[in-house]
Amino acid sequence: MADTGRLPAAGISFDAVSMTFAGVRAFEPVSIDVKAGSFVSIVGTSGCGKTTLLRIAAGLVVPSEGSIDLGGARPGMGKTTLLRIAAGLVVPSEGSIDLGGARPGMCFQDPRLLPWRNAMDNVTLPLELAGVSPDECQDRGIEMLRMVGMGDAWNRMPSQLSGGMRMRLGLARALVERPPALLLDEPCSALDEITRETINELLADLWKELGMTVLLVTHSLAEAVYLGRQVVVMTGRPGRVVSVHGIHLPSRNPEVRTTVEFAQALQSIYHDMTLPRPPGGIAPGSLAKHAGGEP
Amino acid sequence: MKRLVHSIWPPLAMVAALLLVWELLVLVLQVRSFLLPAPSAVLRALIENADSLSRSLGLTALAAVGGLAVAAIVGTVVGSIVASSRLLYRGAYPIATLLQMVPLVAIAPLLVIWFGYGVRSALASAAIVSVFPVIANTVDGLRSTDPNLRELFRLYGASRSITWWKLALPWAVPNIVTGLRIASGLAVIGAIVGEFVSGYAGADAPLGVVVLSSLREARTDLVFAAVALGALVGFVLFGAVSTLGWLLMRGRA
Repeated sequence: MADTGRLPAAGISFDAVSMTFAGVRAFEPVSIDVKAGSFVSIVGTSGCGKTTLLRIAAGLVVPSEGSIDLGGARPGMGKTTLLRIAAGLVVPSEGSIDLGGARPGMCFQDPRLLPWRNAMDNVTLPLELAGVSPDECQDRGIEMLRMVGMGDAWNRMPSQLSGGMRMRLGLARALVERPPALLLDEPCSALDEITRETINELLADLWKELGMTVLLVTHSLAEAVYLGRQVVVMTGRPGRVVSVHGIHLPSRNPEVRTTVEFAQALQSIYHDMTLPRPPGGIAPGSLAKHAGGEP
Repeated sequence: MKRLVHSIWPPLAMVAALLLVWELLVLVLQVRSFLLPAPSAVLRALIENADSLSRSLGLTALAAVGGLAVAAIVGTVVGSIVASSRLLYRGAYPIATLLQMVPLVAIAPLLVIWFGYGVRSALASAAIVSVFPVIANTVDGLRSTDPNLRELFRLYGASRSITWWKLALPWAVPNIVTGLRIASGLAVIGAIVGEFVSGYAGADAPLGVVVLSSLREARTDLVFAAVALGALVGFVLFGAVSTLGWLLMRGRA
């Protein structure tokens, strides 16, 4: 793997963030602090709002209430949103979000590649949109492609790539801007078991190598425990955080999945996911209490 | 090459068979040539009038190609403007559909007033008939842009114009090419209808005028020759648009 140096990791802080869609509360106020450079997994039943939380962190959705803070910057809103509010096209909600220049990288369940662009041009799209020169785009693009093991396939079209290779491209594109945080929305859910394991290893390696903050939303408890140093457990209707688990495994290689510690972590998380709803949820900011998380 | 031969020999064989049947029927039934000339007579007329017909072909091709080019540019621009806002779409799209119902033959004489006699009116006529499928398909293509990809561009802070240029327009290419394929046939029809009312007779007669003047002289073989050349313009335009589409969409899933 090429060494591109560590990324300037930034923490992500959700402060009493809640979301209401058409009068229906999607999730109750969530306050979590994701430390800079940590790898946090979010698991929960379908509809608990974990993907919405991730989309709020990406700046794609403005929360109904509360605010989010990436790397200490918390001005107002994106300039497009402000313009739309000024034009009367959007009614401002109570919540606020601004990711400023510190835009996180995001990888989706479907890698969302442009079918008319080859691997290189897909990976460099964010740089191109940011006005980076073509030469620098090429240099950074090939560097990222090599990092995800796709250096030889730079000129292949998405239609010529397997699901795993497409996901690698999605990851390379999410990291090409050297973001302070990487948001992963069920990146492996459409992959077969073997490919999923390969991508998990790649994610673990990238995190160790680059040291960015990672927030992973997944349905797979095993994936959440294997990759995350902390696991946030959410339940649904309306969504709420029920517990946060610090994950302490003896090692981080595929064999660890057969250890007692791994099984206990899985069991404990599964237990929390299937608990009857507690009256209050967990206290805001409790994630910050958990130690560890550095790569 | 082998695949090309494999795909074009059945229609070529069918055309050859139809021409043969036509030739035999005319011969056996002794159909008079001014009613229905045999294919061999049409071919003879083509060869004997090759000089003047090639000039006519050039004029009609100029009107059809020019009209299609205008339709491609105007159609893509207008389609993009209409698709850019929901209000515009709701306001303009029904009007564009209604305008398609206006019979071109009825407005063709007006074109002579606006553009004068000659190739300009024929070109305008070709552009007017062929612009609507381009507008409609451009609008459909732009509006069908994958919302997930739009979200991706939003994530990267892309402006509306950049999103149009780098996402929506390439996404709409298959639709625009479909619109242009329909338009390529219509452009030839539009050009010839325009020539019916605006074309000069004599040495600079386009195919539309050749059809009319040959009818008056009961030279049905020349009428068929002109029609065949008009169809040839349509085939070439259709082939060119299809090739352009293939080039633009290479490598896509």
